[in-house]
Amino acid sequence: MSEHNPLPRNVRHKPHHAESVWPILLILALLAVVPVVATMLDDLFLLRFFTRAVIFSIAAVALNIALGYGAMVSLAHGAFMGLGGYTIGVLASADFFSEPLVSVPFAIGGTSDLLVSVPVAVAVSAGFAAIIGLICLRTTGMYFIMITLAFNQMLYFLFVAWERFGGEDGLQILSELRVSDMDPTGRIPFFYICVATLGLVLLFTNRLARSPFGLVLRGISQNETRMTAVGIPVFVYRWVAFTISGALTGLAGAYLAISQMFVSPVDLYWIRSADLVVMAVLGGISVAWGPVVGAFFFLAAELLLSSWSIYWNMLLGSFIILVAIFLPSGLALFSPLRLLRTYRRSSDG
Amino acid sequence: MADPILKVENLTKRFGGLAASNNLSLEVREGTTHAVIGPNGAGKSTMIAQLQGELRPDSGRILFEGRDITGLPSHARARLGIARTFQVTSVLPEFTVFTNVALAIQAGRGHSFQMFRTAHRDPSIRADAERSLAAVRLADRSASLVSELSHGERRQLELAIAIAMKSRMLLLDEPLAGMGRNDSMFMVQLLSELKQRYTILLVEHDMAAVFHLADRISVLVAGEAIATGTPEEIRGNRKVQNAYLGHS
Repeated sequence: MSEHNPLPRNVRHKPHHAESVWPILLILALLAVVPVVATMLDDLFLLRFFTRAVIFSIAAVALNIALGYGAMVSLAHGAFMGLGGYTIGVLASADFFSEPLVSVPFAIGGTSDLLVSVPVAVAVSAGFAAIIGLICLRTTGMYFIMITLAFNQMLYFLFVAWERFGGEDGLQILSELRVSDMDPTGRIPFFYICVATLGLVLLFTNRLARSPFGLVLRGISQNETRMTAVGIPVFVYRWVAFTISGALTGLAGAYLAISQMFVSPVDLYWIRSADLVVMAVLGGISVAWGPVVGAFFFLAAELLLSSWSIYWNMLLGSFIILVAIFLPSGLALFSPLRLLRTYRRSSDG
Repeated sequence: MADPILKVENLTKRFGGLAASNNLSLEVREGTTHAVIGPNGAGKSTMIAQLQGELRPDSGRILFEGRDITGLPSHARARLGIARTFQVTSVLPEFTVFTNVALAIQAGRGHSFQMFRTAHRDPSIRADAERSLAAVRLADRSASLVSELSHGERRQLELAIAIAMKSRMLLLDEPLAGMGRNDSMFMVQLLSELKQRYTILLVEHDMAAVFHLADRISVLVAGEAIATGTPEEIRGNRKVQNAYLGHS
């Protein structure tokens, strides 16, 4: 029901801006020149930062299918991301040590071929999202937040306790990851793979917003009762959206593990879930590309502020509060004019 | 006589010691406008909730076009053609008037799992939506956001959505609630046009409107239908006068 929607009204969908693809193409074009600049400046760290930011952008955009379109404030998406990463790590380590993953009833070995392990990672995340979705989606609002948080932490403690996969110390990826016979983990090719993936995910979610499915989903988030009354099985639509969102978040998690050659329980701690929500809301959840702005902003702030003060969290927090008050539709839709209007309206009243 | 389109048989729903529906039976004939009236607390809302699927009865059956729908969820009943409007208007505030109606048409045409195509470009959806909006005199507001509509216009929109669903029966829950005199008169005018084409089950407090619109009236008291008949029969019914009209 709409009154269960935990997001304040002004943070939810604004009347929809024409979902133009131009901002998306602009973002992709800007990202495409990053390796060129990094090479010119001979600054490898720059490329590393951008790779990480693109991967988190994928996750935040994927989360937004649930959060922005479906009004499902999920704190389980860190777990989907971590699960995607662990799938890559576990398969690679089984391959490296030539140990079968499972030996009963028949042996399934590991693999370092990303053409196999990335789709498996997506499938594992999708499966987990589908299963917990069946339970979580019976609740709404605050209860939904709490139950997704609970599942996230269950998975976290499972991997902390699972010694075979490194337990608390995490899992180093020792084998050489490859795509069939090519090595994609060179920094520049891998960066372009990430950007291309972000592009596809953005175009998909942008399309989704005005598709029949997307309209039903956005309708449900505005008024569940109304959608039921026109004949929509609300639960099924939410569940499908939650699963797709989880699957694509798992893809981002797989990429993160590949870029770090490492995965650890920190990658599925609940704070990661909360960070993704902050990225999406900060950037703006009413357009597909909003979370990209949020992810870049969040990670840049983390990087710059943390080198400046150990209290950087406080600074970032204050900034988020300011955005919430003055730019409720997010940084992506920031325009000085809009800000002025908001200011004038609040001083009128 | 033809079978009734809606048949409610011995419906009982208790909340603790209170029987909100007490062995309630009711028949709505196809093509008629059937009003249900009754004092506050008579169980009208509970009846609507059971017809529409929000509440399950403790016992009894609901038959729609001969089919037992007692156990069906709300959305499945909607797909069978039971279109309801709400006592408190319930529309999608952040979409346009057109999208509100087009979504109802889309939902009625089967599943909506298509994710890559832009919705509602289909000319037949556009035509259906425009026809429904014209029927409730809202065609000129098609591109407006729902949040810009007046209360009366939202009521009209709800009716347009109900019509757009290819409904077999309209279930109208107090369509005149909260309306001023002019809006009310306009709505009664609209409903008297719609009743030519639709079977309507109407729950309403405004007696003048009920007696003007209804072909048949059932009077609900304490969860039970104590009388059903034409407006004239109901007016002259002693039991009804005692239970209801006499006291109001």
